[in-house]
Amino acid sequence: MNPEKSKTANTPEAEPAPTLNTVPMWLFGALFVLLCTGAIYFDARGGWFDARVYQPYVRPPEDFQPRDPGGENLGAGKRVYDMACAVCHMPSGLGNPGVHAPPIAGSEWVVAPGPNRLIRIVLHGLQGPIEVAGKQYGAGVMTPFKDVLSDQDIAAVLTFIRMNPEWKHKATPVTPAQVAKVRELTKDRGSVNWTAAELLQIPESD
Amino acid sequence: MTAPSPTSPPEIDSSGRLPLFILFGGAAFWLVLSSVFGLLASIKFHGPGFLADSPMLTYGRVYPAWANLLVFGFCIPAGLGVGLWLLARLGRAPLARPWLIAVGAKLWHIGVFVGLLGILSGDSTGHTWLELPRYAAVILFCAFVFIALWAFATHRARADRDLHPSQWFVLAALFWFPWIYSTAILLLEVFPVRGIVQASIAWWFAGNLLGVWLPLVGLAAFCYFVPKLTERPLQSRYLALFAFWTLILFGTWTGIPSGAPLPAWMPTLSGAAAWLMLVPLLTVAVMLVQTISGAKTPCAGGPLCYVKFGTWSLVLSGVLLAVAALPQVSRVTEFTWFNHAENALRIYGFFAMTMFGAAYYILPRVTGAEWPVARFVRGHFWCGVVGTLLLFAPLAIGGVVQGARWLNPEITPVDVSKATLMFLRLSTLGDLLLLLGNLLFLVNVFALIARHCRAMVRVLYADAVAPLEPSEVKP
Repeated sequence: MNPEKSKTANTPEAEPAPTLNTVPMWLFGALFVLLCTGAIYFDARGGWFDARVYQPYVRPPEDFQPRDPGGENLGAGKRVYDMACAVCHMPSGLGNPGVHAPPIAGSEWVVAPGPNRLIRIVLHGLQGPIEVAGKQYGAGVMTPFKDVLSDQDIAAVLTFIRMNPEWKHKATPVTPAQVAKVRELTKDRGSVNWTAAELLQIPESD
Repeated sequence: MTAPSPTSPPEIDSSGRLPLFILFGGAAFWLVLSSVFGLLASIKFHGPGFLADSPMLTYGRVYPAWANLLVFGFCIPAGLGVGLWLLARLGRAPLARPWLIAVGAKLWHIGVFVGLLGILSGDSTGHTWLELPRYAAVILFCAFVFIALWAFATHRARADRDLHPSQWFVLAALFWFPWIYSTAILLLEVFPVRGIVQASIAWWFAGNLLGVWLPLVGLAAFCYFVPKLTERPLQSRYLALFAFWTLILFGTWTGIPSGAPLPAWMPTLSGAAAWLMLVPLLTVAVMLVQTISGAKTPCAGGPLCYVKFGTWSLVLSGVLLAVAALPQVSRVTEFTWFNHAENALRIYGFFAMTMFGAAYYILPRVTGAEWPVARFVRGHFWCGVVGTLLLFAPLAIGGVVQGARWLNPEITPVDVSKATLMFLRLSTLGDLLLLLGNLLFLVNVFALIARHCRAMVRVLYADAVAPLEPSEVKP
């Protein structure tokens, strides 16, 4: 019952030294498989350390709240703006008098009650002169974008410039359906630029 | 610093006599008392009127008395005793300042006593595993740090500079407890945090105590005693290293239950960590199998049987922890007896059994005498094995039955409770057997200590009354 009894005498016992055999590879395999599974599990259920995400609501709370209208268009609209508009109207939206580009920030054309005139300007371009924010802008030409930008892109960029919080714009968003309707109405116009006088004939909103 | 010459094992053993007597004697006493409280708490589930008239003996006080006496009364002093002995034996140096360690051990037991009175008089804090009131916690913390200081002093004066894996585990455990205990006490009792954060801290503490501290000490004993008792080298140093780092790396994240009302990342990380804890446990299983393989070791209730049973219990309890961390499973097992079953397996099946095995090896060497009632050692083993299984299996199965019924809205709560009655009765039987086994341990330890003290008094008395040698008398 006591196999080690014989060793309890006064002989100094050698403490058994551990061997130096290596760790089997399958244990490392198990470790990495579990690490990977754990990471996937955390990604699916952990809510990425968001203190507002509780089980079993594993999505961020924004997913459960009504979006602010136009919200999803702001990001896409900014990308279109930077690509198509910022060359002349500048990233700041303040325009560039050197190329007769009026400002967008603070422009009464942009924050108009409806987007009817704006959609036309983007689709077919604009031939100056035009008065914006009390200043006269000369003979600049804005090129048509109807073949470059889709209804989606135009709706996004117009929503962006009409609602950009940096410019304190708080107008209504623009939908692709509105753009499609105007595109349909003006499809016979070709690539002829609008003039300010022509645009003023068109009601701002339906 | 030049290493002092190694001290012989008998000298080392006798240097630790007094502190080990106090640590193990007190631990055995608290363990029996804890088993009594556990039995009372268990009976109250099928006999609610039993001892219900005294506020001191209501379930709300008896249950924390059981839990805290078990962990703070038994597990920690027994673990400290084994750890101190291992540090001295493996460092081949006598214990540093045994008298001061004895004072620390006494202080620890006084802290447990004060805490027990606090719990019974209704002063418990309400956090699971941390019910000991603040004034007792301060005593316990100081006593632990005091003992740990002399353990480090022993380790520093070691003659054998090479570290054995057991020493890593003991040293880590000596650092681990003051860290988790001071953090929990400061954030829950001294400067209490608010609301649900309290629960997360209590869970973190419980996870570290039961999932890291107990395994650290238990594996220290495992790494020493399995090779020693089978007379084969430990397989291997690198496996022990792998188990050590994965244990302390992943173990500290466990503890938060899957359905906790906390931000999702906390229970999710905790669940993933419970799965990763399978890696150190698998490693331990490999170490056990490879170290024992080929050794001819009759297992008839000696220390090796205790350690082997303890190690397999640890592996099984880790598997249960991982399974219960799955959201699909925890839907059923949460808020049921399943959790209690897993704790019982870990504390009784793994830790207590490993400590018994170590104590049955250490104490005869410390006193230089055999166990007074040798067959109690075997009796205790079988009481422990059957008692643990009777406590664990019915509660685990009962927990699943209970959870499945909770999920069914057609079944009333009273019927859910009634369905668990048979399992609870069986677990009371397990508690009874554990109490019996622990009594055998207590009798053996106290008889051993008493016999040693009697022999010591006899020697002193003989010295005092011995006639003076003529040569010593001046002419």
